[in-house]
Parts: sequence; structure tokens; C-alpha cells
Amino acid sequence: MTKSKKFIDKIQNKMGDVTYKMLIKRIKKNISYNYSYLKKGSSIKFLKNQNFGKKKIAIIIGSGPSLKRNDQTTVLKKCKDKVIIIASDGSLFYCLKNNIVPDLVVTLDSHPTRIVRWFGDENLNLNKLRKDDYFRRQDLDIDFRKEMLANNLLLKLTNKFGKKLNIALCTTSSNAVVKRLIKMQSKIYWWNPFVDDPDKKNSISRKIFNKNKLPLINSGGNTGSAAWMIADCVLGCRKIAMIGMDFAYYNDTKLNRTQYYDFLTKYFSRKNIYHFFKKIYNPITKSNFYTDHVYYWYRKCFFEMLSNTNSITYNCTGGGILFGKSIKFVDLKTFCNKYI
Amino acid sequence: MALLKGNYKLQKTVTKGKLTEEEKLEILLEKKAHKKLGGSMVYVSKKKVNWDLKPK
Repeated sequence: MTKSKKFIDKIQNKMGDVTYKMLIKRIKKNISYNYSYLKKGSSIKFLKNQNFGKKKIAIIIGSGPSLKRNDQTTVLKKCKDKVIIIASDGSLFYCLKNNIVPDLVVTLDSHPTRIVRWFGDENLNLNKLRKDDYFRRQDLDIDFRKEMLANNLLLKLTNKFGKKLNIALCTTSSNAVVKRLIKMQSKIYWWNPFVDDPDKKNSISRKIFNKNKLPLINSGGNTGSAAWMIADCVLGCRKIAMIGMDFAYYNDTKLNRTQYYDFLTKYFSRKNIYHFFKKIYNPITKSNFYTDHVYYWYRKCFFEMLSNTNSITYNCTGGGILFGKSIKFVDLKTFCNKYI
Repeated sequence: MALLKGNYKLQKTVTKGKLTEEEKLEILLEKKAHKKLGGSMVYVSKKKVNWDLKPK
């Protein structure tokens, strides 16, 4: 255990580079491809200081496992017309099923086949399912394990609510996602991610900006954190609550249900994959969670983002590993009663 | 670049230290970096939003 702690901490400094090397080719390809689709939407700058006719308070709905375990739909339904609801793509199904239409949905991952599933994949077939078991394995939304059934229901929901959805669509998104959103007739607001420092020599972020002139937004490494960043610096919300932002697994989650299990076992022997996980005690919920090298990195990045803002963040997740001085840990009902 | 070569022999044979299991994993992680072992997106420290960029 001591060894794994040391290793996971040690590789944190490398995670930025690892992510960059892993993604840069695909990012460039997607951005270049999406250039011809930019006219199908607007720039995210049109959402600057937007409040959607509500209080300037946001609730971010991440897609962590707590979203299902600590079902908060009753409170959400009560407050949804008064606060800005921002959903990560992975929580859209959960929202729509519960008749909650978010004010904004954020998507950014460049994966060529998986992300479209969060919006319903019109081309899903058994052959595709055989090739990728991600949705059967993942711990985020267990309804997705019944893949065809969930996909058909999601297609119905996104076809029904598509026109009402505002999507903060990252230029790195896949061809499949962009085409699906256009088909859903959603309102698209494009943005670029920072991929490096634009003041650096030969910066790719600067090249991307010079080509499409879209704002550069720091994503924090994942969709939930990007949603927080959009609430903070695009919409200008000074109070941001979050649910489903765990960056961790419940202690009873089997390793093969974790996000990177398939890749870890592919490249590292089974005895070595334990080095990529770490147990963390949450003193507020008084329970243990465990995290992996990527979620742990997301947490580190998120805390850095929190140290660089004037807004106050309330973690209403009821679990996970986001706790500390820079974040208030309260339940959603208390948050809503106090501020809405 | 010129190669500076000593004209003497060492009394002891210098052997490379063995890599620990963690070091081996770390090297392997970096080698496999182009596979799905990182996050969903790049994170750039201390940046928030740039609505515009000043020309260089």
C-alpha cells in the first residue's frame, strides 16, 4: 500500500504530459475537421454573463457514481427553475429521464466512438458493442449497462428535448458527437480548450485560436471541471454547487468497473495495476473512497482552479474525494434553502 | 560535440543501479502515454479563459 501511494503521487507531475501526448494528434484532427461545422453554432462568448433568466447561481451535475447513489432529483426539480443547471454530457440521460432539462450541457472528450453514446448513437449495433465494453463495465450510470435499451431511450429523449438544449461544444469533440448534436437541432456554443500556454513558442493553443477565433477555456482535464470553469468564468456565477463530482469510486466498486481498468490491464500486469489506485478517507462522510491516477490528477487540477477564483464552490455530492479548505461540503437541500 | 575520453582505468567496475518496480512502471507509463492512460483533456496550469489573444 505504501508503495502504491508513493507511485500514484509521483506520477501526478507526469499526468499533464501523458494526457497531452495521448490526445494531441486526435485533438488536432478533430479541431481541423470541426472547422467546417463552426457555422452550425455560435461562439461561447455569446453566453458571457448569461443567466438564462435565473439567479446567478449554478448547479453543476457531474456524472460520478454518487449521482445515482444519492439521488437528488426531488431537490433538483424544486430548484431547477430558479438556478442555472449545467450538466456534463455523461449526466444528460439522468437529467432528461427525470424531466430536468439543463440550461447548458458541456461536452469535450475527443474519443471517436464513446462520447456520442451520452447523446444517443443512431448507428449503434451489435458489432460496435462487441468491440467496446466500456458502457457495460463503467460505474458512472449503471442504466447504460443495458446498452441497446438505454441507447434507444436516450435517442427518444434527445430527439424530444434536443431543440431545447444549449450545448457548450468543445472543438475537440468527435465527428460523431458534432453530427448528432446538429441532428438534434440543439443550440451549439463552440469553445477551444487550452492545450498549452498560448505565450509559449509554437503554441498549439495560439494556432487553434488564430484559425477559428473561438475563446480558449481551461477544461481542468475533464467535463465536470470544464462545466465548473464555464459557470465561473463564462457565466460569471459566484456561487457554484456541484453534485455527481466524485473523482473517486465507492469502496464496494470492483476494480474491473473502474474507468481505466481495460487499459491498465492491457499494458501492466494485474499485480501492478494496484499501484494506480489509492484509498482516501473522506472525513465529512466518514467513509473511505478509492481513486485512480487520473481521477486523482483531476482532483489536483480542480483544487488549483479553486485557488484561482473569487467564486464559492459547494460540494453537494455527498461522497467522493473533493473536500478541503477551498470547498464547502454541504447537502443540496441546505444549499438551496440558504441561497435560492 | 567532442567526446572527452579518460585515459585511465577505474579500479572498481561501475554497474548501473537496478530500477525499482515503481521506476519501471513509471517508464512504461510514459512509453504507453499515447494510449488511453491520461485524462479526457489537457490541463494548463493557472489559465482560465482567453476571450482574445494579443498578436505576438
